[in-house]
Amino acid sequence: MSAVSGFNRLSVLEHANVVVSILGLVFVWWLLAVNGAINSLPGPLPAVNAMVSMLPTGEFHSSVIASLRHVFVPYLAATALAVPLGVAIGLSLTFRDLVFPSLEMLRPVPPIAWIPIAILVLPTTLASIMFITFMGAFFPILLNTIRGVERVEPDYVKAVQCLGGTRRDVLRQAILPAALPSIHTGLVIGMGLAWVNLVAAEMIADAGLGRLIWVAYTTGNYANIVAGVIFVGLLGYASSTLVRWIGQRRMSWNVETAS
Amino acid sequence: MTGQQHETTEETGSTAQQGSVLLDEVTKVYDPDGEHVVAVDDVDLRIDAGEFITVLGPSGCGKSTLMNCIAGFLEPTSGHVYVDGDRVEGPSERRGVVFQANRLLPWKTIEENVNLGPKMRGELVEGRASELLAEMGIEGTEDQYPTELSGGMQQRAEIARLLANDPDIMLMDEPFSALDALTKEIMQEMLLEIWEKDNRTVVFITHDVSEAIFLADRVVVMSAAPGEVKADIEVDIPRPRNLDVTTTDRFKELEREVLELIHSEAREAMGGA
Amino acid sequence: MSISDSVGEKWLGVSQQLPSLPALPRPVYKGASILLFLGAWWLFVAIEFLGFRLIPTPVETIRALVESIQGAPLTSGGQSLYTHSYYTIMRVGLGIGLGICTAIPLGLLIGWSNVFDRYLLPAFEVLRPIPPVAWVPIALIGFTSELMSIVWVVFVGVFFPILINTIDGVKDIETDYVRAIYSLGGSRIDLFRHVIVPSAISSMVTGTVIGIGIGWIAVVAAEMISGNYGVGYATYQAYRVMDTQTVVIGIIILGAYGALSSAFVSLLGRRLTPWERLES
Repeated sequence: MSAVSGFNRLSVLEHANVVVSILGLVFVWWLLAVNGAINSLPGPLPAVNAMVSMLPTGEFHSSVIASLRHVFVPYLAATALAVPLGVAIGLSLTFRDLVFPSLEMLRPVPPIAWIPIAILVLPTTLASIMFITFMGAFFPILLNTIRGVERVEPDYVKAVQCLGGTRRDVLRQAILPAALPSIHTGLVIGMGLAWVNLVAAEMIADAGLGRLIWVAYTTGNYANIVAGVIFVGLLGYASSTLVRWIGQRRMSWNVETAS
Repeated sequence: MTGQQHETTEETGSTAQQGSVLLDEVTKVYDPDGEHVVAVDDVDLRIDAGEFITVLGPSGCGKSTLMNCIAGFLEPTSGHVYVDGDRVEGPSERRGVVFQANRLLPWKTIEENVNLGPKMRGELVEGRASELLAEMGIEGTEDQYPTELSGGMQQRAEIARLLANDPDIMLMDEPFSALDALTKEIMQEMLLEIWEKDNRTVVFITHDVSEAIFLADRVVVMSAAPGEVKADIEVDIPRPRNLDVTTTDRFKELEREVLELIHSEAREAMGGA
Repeated sequence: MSISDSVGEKWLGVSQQLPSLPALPRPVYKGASILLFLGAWWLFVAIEFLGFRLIPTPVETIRALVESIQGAPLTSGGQSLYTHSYYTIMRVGLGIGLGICTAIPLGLLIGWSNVFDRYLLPAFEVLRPIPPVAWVPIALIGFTSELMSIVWVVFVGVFFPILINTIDGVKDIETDYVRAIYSLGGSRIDLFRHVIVPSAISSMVTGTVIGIGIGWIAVVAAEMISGNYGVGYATYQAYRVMDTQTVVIGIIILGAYGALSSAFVSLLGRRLTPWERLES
């Protein structure tokens, strides 16, 4: 009904609060930096400068690529393993009793605590870091898959069965789609935890963006620390958004994720 | 201030009692994403204090919207709702509501739920909750949580919660629609007993024709899309009533009349579509 | 109740597919699971799978664990398990406490008030994706005391899951509960007390459990990177001197603390929501 420009003006007004809020944050940051409330904290401007000068460097590119590899390869592996395992545990009581207690012993260990063992046991640093991110992503995906499968309405299964569906049909037409929202929740949480553990592992094992930040710290280049942290935040945010976006596309029928 | 509703403060209409409702050209339009949905269209309705009316109609005819306007949960797009001559501007404890899906607070025990209204208004009377629960035939449930009770018992507790506030008007949105047929009949008779004792105004929403006739002094029949009042039928069956009246000729006659109205409406709607 | 009880077992037909698995009581299978795990560990060490020759066997580990619990120093000449635990638990406890005390009131406020939701939440959303451990160097610069910098990192890890879950809990409230309160004569304060807080408790607990998990990751990472004392620190120091026995003990201890703390919060959560046990 109204003109396109009118719509745009409206949406700009609607998001004014976001701009105000973020400007407020930057202002607080500036205030803390400028009056030295926090020891030698770089202000927003030096940080932006550092980001700009960091962007074209080869070191930055290779660090980003390394970090993305350290996240996505183990993340996909964790998904490929945790989802089928979770479905099996959710469906079979015997399988659950046989497998789950062992996993429950490993689960409470903070993934990063495995890093010394990973470095000793696994052949390369790359493999060790990937093991840590894998552990970060694996359990949230597993637990949410189990929960999703457990809560599938048994009548859906019966409906597919009495329409002549085979076991494979039951799995594909009833159980997996019904459990998908919960699996998706696990995938989103898993991505977040993969990043949390990645930064720790990279700082300790000296690789990727974690190393970049740590080197900036040890060489006293404080603006670069903040720049690195912001880049890590951006990449982590982009990764989670990607997972959310894929999930929403696959589950357009689900009212909860759509809204 | 609200404790003594039954002392007359002003004359409203023909009765001295409080709880009369007047709907004056009430229209409610929903406008989600630019779609113009007329839920209630130009409804004029007068309900006397102490009257029991049922609003009957198919799902989606705007009868819940109408009730929400009387309760003060929704503001009409145009027109006004008056209670005892005062314009309704929001919810009030004088208009108690029984919800369709049981809305006892799940984290409070039955007693805490029943006491909630008086407690919030600082007029809590010790022992009143137990009295009301006994009156509703569910004594001894004080310390239980709502989910421990059957659907019928929960609905009794919700009515007790409403009575604890001593409202002038009871607004009931398909309160018995989720109950099984037998429980439903028991609840209907019980509701009539309560009403005959205190004579509060009742606005009862339903899609069940015989329920509408059995309970009401007047059945207001609504039609869907847009929601309009199709007919306003006086139920001249003498009170006190019990379920035996549903087998009388007069009851059957009224039932046929209302059904015929609804069916012709449905046929019209289908032919039009 | 759940699908594995009703149709899962029949559907998978486990008993038909694996006729060798007799129908034993559940604890037997659960015990077998633990034994299988320990057996695999032992086997990996025995056949020197990958780098497992460096790792002690389960039996050696249990013996060393008992010694540590009796107060032997974790690393030779170092502090006992109890000294290290004291530091770690104090850091993680302070961080979690601070996180709960700030995130729950803020979450209630943001969920309840449109102004806070619109003007405060976006700033937090900008900070949220930064992994807590990335704060370690900034915290080391910013705070002069080591305790404060590690507490800060734990706090960042705990804060956001609790905040976001509390907000979601408040926003998920049924409209009819709100209507019920108003039509019973309640005020906005009554709504807050009788509906918003109790109905959001279970999501607050969920957020706290997630937050505590991340808090433990944060404390271990921070101690490994920068600490003096602490179980994470001791574990990493042991690795540097190739004392793998202590590394394994450190992991077991950290796992036990993680399990205990989340079990404690879950128990507390069930205590706070006695009505939820009845649903299902």
